[in-house]
Amino acid sequence: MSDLAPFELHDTDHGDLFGAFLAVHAMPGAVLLLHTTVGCKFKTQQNLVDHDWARPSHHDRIWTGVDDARLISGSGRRLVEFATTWYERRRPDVFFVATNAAIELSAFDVEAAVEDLRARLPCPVVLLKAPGWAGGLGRGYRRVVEAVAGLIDWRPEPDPASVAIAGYLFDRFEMDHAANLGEVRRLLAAIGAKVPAVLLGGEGLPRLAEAARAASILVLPHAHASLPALAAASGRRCVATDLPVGLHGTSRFLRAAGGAAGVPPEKVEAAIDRELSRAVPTIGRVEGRLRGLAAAVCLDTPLAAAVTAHLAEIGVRVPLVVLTDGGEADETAYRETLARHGCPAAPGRVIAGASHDRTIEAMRETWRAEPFRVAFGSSFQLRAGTGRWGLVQMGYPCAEKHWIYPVPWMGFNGAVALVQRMLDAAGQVA
Amino acid sequence: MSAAPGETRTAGELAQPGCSMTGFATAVAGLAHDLAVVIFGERDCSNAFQRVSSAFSSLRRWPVFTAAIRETDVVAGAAEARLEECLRAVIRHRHPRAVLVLSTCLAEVIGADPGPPCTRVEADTGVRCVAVRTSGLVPRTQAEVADHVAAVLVGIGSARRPDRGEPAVPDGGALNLLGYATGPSREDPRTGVAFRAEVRAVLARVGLRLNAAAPAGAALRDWGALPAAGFTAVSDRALFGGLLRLLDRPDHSAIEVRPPVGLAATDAFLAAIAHGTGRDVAAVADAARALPAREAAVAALARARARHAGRHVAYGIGSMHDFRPEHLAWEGLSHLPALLEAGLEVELLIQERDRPEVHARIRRNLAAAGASGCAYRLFYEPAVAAPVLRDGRFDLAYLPDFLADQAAAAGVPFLPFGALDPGYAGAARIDRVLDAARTWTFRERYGRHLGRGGGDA
Repeated sequence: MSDLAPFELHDTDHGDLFGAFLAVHAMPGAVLLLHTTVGCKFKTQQNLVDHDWARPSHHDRIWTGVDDARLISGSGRRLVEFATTWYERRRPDVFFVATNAAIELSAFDVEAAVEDLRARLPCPVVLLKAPGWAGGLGRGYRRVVEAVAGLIDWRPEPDPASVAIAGYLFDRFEMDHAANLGEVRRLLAAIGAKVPAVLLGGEGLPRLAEAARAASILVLPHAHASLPALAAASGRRCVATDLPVGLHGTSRFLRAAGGAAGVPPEKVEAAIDRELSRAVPTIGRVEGRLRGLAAAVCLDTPLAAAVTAHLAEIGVRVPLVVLTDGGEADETAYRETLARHGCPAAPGRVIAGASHDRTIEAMRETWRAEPFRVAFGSSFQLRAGTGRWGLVQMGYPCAEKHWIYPVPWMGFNGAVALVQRMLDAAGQVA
Repeated sequence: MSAAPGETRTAGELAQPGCSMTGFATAVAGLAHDLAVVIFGERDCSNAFQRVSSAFSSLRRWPVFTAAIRETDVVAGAAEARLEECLRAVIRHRHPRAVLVLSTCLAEVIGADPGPPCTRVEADTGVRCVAVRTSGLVPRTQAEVADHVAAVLVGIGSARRPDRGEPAVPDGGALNLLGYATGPSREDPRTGVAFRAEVRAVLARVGLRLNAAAPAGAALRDWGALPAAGFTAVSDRALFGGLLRLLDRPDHSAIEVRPPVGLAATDAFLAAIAHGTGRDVAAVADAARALPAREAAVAALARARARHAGRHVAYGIGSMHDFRPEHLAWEGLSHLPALLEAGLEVELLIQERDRPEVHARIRRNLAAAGASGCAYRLFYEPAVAAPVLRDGRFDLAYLPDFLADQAAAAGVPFLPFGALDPGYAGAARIDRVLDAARTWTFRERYGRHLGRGGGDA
């Protein structure tokens, strides 16, 4: 590794703050109080505004106006006054209070202020310390998911046929996510399982509390690290699953869900079979075209694994995978996921946590050695391939791909749609 | 348009204050090939500027780096050593002309001084390392930040190489444009080019050449070239006090000329430059009249008046947070003349708290900008602009783009702030710009079906 590598920027360089903000954004009625210095306003909203065209994000965060003078005089009082006033104006379901490193090192009254707020306000108040040297987008998101699980009253008697989902990375209110969640719910209904709540899926805290009706929680990869915390908070059976992406990936997910919901395996298999009998012939029509294709994958670890597995099963070569989730990129987790998927073809080259510049270099090097016509990646990879490869824009950020029409990438319909998008992208290059 | 004699004005006091590190990084992140930028803070601070959708995001190599201070560096007092390591790696691998080091809140709180590492690395490598004390601990006006950025970039850009001898005497036949919309606009990427071409064509007739334009569309060489001109036309003196003091020499004159947004404003802009540089004002006017774009602007203005005169427009200020001087000039009011000359009735919508001292500040700034006659109403934060728009019964809202949802909620046609471009080419689009916001068949035909949540997942 070059001695420049520790200092280069990645596609995602976030600490916990932005992930927490994404999660708050995914919960209408929640508000993130930035008890931070003013630049954190940019670290949050500015990074989402071009990704989510459907719902403004600047309403989801409020800066408490901390500066050096308020730090000296004690910022806790400011926090209490500010939050109390804002509660009256907005009546949020829940307040998340985030601090950054500068505040933690200089303001020693924040925890007491949060305690004070908890006593004063009728809504929950959650403190999230988010120094910018620690964590990442995924961890910040998970911390909020865990906090939400801790706020839910799990005492109601669960319905054995109900499964909640945790760890869905809902990063915008666009129709790709609506389509994904619709598809997953449709498939779970097809096997006879009910889904009272998705943590997080664009719904507010009162609706999320319906998760208590579930006897089991399907924990998606973005929240695998939270599984013990979710199990402890809920007392429910928590089942780690991979993403329901691709034909095999979706089938595996449904089997796991069926197991969790106590659905007889034959019923699950019958539903899968019905779906495959519809999706497979559709993909089969272009099987010959796919067999000659190659695609690079530049996505976060869970999504990269799911997409690679899907590509492999439909005969698309994957000469390069870059795990773009910065410090959270995990090659071991990636390879283990492929193994669970029974992935028949290992990718040529896997790079975890490469900087943005090295990602682009790797794409170009690989393209010169083994030209690929398609790349799966974020808008950061969009222009790098102009004239060389077409981009299927996925993940975060998708600043230049927006969905007003519901097209999933999860489930069996998502498997077909991804093939469609890949053919479209391949058609962009000669 | 300048403040009355003896009256001082603080630029940017009606706009959002911000983090000076964010402002610096936003301004310099796109200066690829010239300058490397190191953010002296935690890795997360490298997200505090526009990365996702900007010229920066599509650069093949990103010229911004992070010292990535870790908790262990803080505990061990090793942040400065970490910065030095970073600087040496950046210079060794990227060979920049200069490195700009931006402090952050964390560096300030722990008392880490970027100066000594910069001095050592510069001495060892010969590459200029400039440390700037920035942070969000003391929120600055965006104008302060813009001025500071300008002064630093002029300093870096104009630094003489030893083999280049003494700097030239400012050229009395050369003009700078400072603080105008000379870069690509959101509506038309060619805007800055067209505006510069107009200015160049007209002023060439009176022996004046365009030397450099900044900050919009400027490369580091443009910043470095600023001291070479004998004249600088500046959109708003109050925005660039520090920079103008740097440029101030016996052979240099700064001329304050309000931004040319609108037909009359463009005529006035060129005339003021001619006057300020001692050129023949009539000759400049003749040259301007000969431009096809001016003729088109006259026709467009007539069409705009015919279709839009009397319409009630909400003109938003106080919300912008993009650190762009072309938006900050005259507290964001520099597009006002274009709407007024089209016959629209403008009322200001200002993001401010309703407090006595706020009204005094607003009145002072409106008077300085020549907009005392404008009525205004306040809203205290973006989430509650819609009721104010509704109360105002506006026909059109000219607001920063992130308030589009509020305009939609109020049912007011929306025109994003910045949609009005400078110069005659910009003025020639006034009718189309207003038409696009107002005469939207889709909304008029189907408006009653909107607002049913169809856009949300």
